[in-house]
Amino acid sequence: MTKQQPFILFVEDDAQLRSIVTLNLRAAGYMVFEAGSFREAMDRMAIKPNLIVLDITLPDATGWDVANWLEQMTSPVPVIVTSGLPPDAKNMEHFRPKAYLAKPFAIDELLDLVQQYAPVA
Amino acid sequence: MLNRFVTLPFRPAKRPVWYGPAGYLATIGGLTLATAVMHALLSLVTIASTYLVYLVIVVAVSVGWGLKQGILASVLGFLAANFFFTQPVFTFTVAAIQDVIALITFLSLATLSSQLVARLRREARDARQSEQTTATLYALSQTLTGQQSRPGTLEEVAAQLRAALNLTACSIILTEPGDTGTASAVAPTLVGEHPESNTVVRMPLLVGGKRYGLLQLTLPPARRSLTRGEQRMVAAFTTQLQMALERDRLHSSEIEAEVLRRTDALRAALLSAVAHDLRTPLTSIKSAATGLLSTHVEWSKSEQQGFLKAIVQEVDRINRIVGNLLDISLIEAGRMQPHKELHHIEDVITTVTERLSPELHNHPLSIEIEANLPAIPIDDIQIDEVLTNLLENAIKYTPTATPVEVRACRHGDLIRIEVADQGPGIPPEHFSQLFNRFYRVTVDSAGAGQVPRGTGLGLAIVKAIVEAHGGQVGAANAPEEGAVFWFTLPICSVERHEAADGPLLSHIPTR
Repeated sequence: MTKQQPFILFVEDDAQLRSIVTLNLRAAGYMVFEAGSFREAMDRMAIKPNLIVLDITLPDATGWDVANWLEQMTSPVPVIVTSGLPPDAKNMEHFRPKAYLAKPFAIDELLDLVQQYAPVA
Repeated sequence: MLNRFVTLPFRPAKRPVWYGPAGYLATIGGLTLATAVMHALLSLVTIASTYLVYLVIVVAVSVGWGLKQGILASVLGFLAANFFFTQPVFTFTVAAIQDVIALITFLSLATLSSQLVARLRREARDARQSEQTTATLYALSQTLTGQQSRPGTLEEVAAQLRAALNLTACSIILTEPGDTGTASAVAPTLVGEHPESNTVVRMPLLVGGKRYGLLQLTLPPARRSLTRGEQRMVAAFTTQLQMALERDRLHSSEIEAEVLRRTDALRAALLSAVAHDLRTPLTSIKSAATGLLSTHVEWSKSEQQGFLKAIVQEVDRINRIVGNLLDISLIEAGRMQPHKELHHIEDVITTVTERLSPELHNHPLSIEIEANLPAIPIDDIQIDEVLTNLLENAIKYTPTATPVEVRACRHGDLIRIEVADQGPGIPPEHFSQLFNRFYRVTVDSAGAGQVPRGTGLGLAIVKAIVEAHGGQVGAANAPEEGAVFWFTLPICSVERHEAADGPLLSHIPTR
């Protein structure tokens, strides 16, 4: 168990939602990096996160592209998928995210899931 | 669709009524004249030459009028030759046996000639008629097959058939089966002359085994039936017409099915897009509200203010989406009418950019407005929507931190407003459909193929509003990076002006 704050990468294209969730995650004791696109997510992955919260609809790709890319990494990072629409069953089957959180979600629901897969020490 | 039914007015037959009697008169006249001349020159003519002269008249009458007149000429010629030129003259008795033989030979020869000539005449007429029939049927089939459901096609074929058969009227009455399966018949009302005594011939039109309508032929007053050739022609024509109707019916049901399929696909796509677009701000609201409600965190006053502000903004955003949906319903109903008043475009730009400042937070915004732009007659709420949609698009389709620019300048009698971004630009294949309703630019994605974004309503609304203001819209890619969306608004609303075709700024190429 790490003594430092868990590091979470939050990939979401909507700036408003991103800032609200980030504020809440930070208040709950996480270190959060935000990404608004696939490209940004890749840039932010220089530091490997403990958990990724992933929106499926991104401006330059889908969350599945990010998941696909993450899959190629040596030690996979747990992923929580969020979406405003029911997720694609095939991709869910293939990538097996830790959890799927349907929008609109309450912040406690997200925090509970995050706490489960990246507990704050 | 082909027109319901067609009726054409009366046209008289080609041959006048006096044609037949004139033949008999000519026969009698010709024989009388020939007899008088030959009798006057009695010393010069032999009995044999009188037979030849009469024979010539018989053939001439047969050629000119036909068998009946020919036979009449033969009999009269025989009697005249007997009475005037055979011994004893001026009696119908014949003295010499050779004269009897000559007279009987003449009568036989004359009768045979007139029959032969009449048959030739009839054959020539039949050949002409069948040639005409072929030509008519060819023209009819050309009309029926050449055009796909063109309005007026049925009028044309009815006119052709009526002209070909010299009919008083020709009607094609369609009784299309309704949804319940009951056929509703449409009664024809004849235009022009239509004596009730006219014979009417009706042929059912069968399409797909079912009675689809009626072909109704009104014969000219003198006629009681169609000739065999005409019947053949009508039968062939009916077959052609049935095939055309069948094809037309299949074609329209195919179109209907295709329209339904597309409408269903569009509705499904729109609903899922709207669901996604609504759920994002709803998530912001729910996250912010539940965050505020959380007992685990002590939010500072400014943080609380931030969440509450976010909630208000997101409610506005949802309201804009709902507004867009209502706009589309107005556009579909053709009721997108601007309530124009004089406004400065600068004020609209300021209002919109201030309202969108939270969304624009991650995009450096620059505004460039030409000095002293005149007030223009616009519906400020609608133009606000145009600008909001264009700016939201710029935010939605470009990566964080790329700048967005709003420009306004005068261009002749127009004011031109541009929203430029520095995102990935518009793939050229999308330009033609960019402003179409439900059309969404897709993003190339390695894992999931083409990913459409948004509802596909924003730019369609932009176009409808701008055009309702008498302006134009367009989009182009900048040479280095990003897309430019522009629209024009006339400075004077009374006059209609042609908008500039390409972007005003010379460094942006038009595509």
